[in-house]
Amino acid sequence: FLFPIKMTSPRMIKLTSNDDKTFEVERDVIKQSVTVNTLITDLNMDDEDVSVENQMAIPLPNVDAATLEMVITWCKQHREDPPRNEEEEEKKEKRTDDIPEWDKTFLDVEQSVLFALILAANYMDIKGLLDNCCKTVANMIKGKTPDEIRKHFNIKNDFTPEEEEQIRKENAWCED
Amino acid sequence: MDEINISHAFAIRDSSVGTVSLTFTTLPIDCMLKIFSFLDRDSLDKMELVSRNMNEFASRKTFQSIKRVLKSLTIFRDGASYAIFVSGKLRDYVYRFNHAGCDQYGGCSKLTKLLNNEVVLTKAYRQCASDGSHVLERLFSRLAVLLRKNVCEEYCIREVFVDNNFTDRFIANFPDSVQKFTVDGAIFVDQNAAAIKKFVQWMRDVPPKNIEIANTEIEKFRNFNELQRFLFLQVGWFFTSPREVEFIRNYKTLIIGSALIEQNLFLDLINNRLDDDELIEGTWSFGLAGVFISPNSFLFGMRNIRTASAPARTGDRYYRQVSECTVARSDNNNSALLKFHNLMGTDFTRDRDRFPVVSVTFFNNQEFFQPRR
Repeated sequence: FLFPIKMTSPRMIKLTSNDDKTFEVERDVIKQSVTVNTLITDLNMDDEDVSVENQMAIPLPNVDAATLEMVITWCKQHREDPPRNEEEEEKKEKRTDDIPEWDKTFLDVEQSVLFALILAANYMDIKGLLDNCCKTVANMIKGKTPDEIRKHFNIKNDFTPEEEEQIRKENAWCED
Repeated sequence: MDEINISHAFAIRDSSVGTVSLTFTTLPIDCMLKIFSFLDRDSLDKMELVSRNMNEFASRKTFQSIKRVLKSLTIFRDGASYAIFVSGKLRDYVYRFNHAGCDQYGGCSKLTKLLNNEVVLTKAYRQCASDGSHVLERLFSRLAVLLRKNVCEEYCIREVFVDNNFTDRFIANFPDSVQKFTVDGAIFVDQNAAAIKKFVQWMRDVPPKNIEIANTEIEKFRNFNELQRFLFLQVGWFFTSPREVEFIRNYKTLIIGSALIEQNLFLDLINNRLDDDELIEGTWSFGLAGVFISPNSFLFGMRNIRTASAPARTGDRYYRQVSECTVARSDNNNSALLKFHNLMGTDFTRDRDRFPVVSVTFFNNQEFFQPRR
């Protein structure tokens, strides 16, 4: 007996950015977002009887279209990543030299874009993306003097000279 | 694999409505904390200097576990005052706490050199015993700041007076766990025995893998009864049961300022040590160093016993004396301590190199703790 093989296309989920742009993304790709994943489950959106055309789009009021597109791109790239064990991740040494090459290139963007990605990853609860974005910012800080950090992030020094001297004195063993 | 289309993302972004320009300082607190959690101690220290806002983040308790690893930290007497010597990976620092109230800090090679030399106890040093507690207060507040951001591979106290003042502050400020801890040239002042008890309890509660106690004085024995027993029990360790022998075996290196071990336990100890398959050659040092017996009686000496393992071949167990005992001054020939010392001296130096361990003789506790006449 030969049974006909039912070819199923990947299940799609609709996401809408805060500027009303809708993106269709594979269910397997967006599962990396804990926020979206929870919504899908809570709203019974995994029901196979509902076609993508009739499906409600998940609104993401804190993410704009440009950022959402980058987030989806990142999620597609990392769809095969093994699931994270958060307890293990917490125990791990906090390194910043382990960002994958693809992510390094992907995150080599203007500061405002990087910060928007951080906000989106934080809101959508995508741990891997958030970690790599934060590591990228941490790498921007490392090896810089306080003055260089101020210049890099456009931060105003609001210390009085006395306050600054006091902190310098306390950090006198700082090995620069 | 999908290609990255960043330019496309930018195009959409440019056309988006109401995009607010994001900056580092406008990130929400949880994101800032996440970024800071990936910084090392050096970077956190730099961030403290950037601005008040950044200082507030970098100084948070959450990040106190992020520490710089330094080679060693030594608290030592520096003339009539105290100092902290910090040996970092790149440079050394000495923090001096003067009576004048002005703390000094900075790199100092001269004192580094001094620390590498043998410590000599001088008359002037002893006269500093009762110096003001305000110096200690400043020293330990500085130490607290230092240890908030740094962790050391090795800690040492040298030439310090371990009294109540010192002990309370030491226990309150020292880290809970240390890899190596050395007490060298410390004087345990027994004006309040509780200080010593607390200090030694700290060492026992947090047993470091390698602990070394050397050249340590116990001053002013007021009597030879329970107090002395207590001091030796606590400071010098007083081993009376096999369980305590096991305690010794837990240490890879253990140097004890003074020790009283019953003969059979001592033999067990050496035999156990020699039975250790991994041991090729080990050194245990038993020192009787700088002990005041009475105002006119003072012993100074150091005993090292090296165990050399060759049990499988000959069946004999040997030890070898490494250094000589020295009596610096001994006016009281009736002292039990002196007898103990002399016995060690004669027996251990009879054969200058090798002889079986069965000839080792120790006083038992009764003789050792005889009341002074």
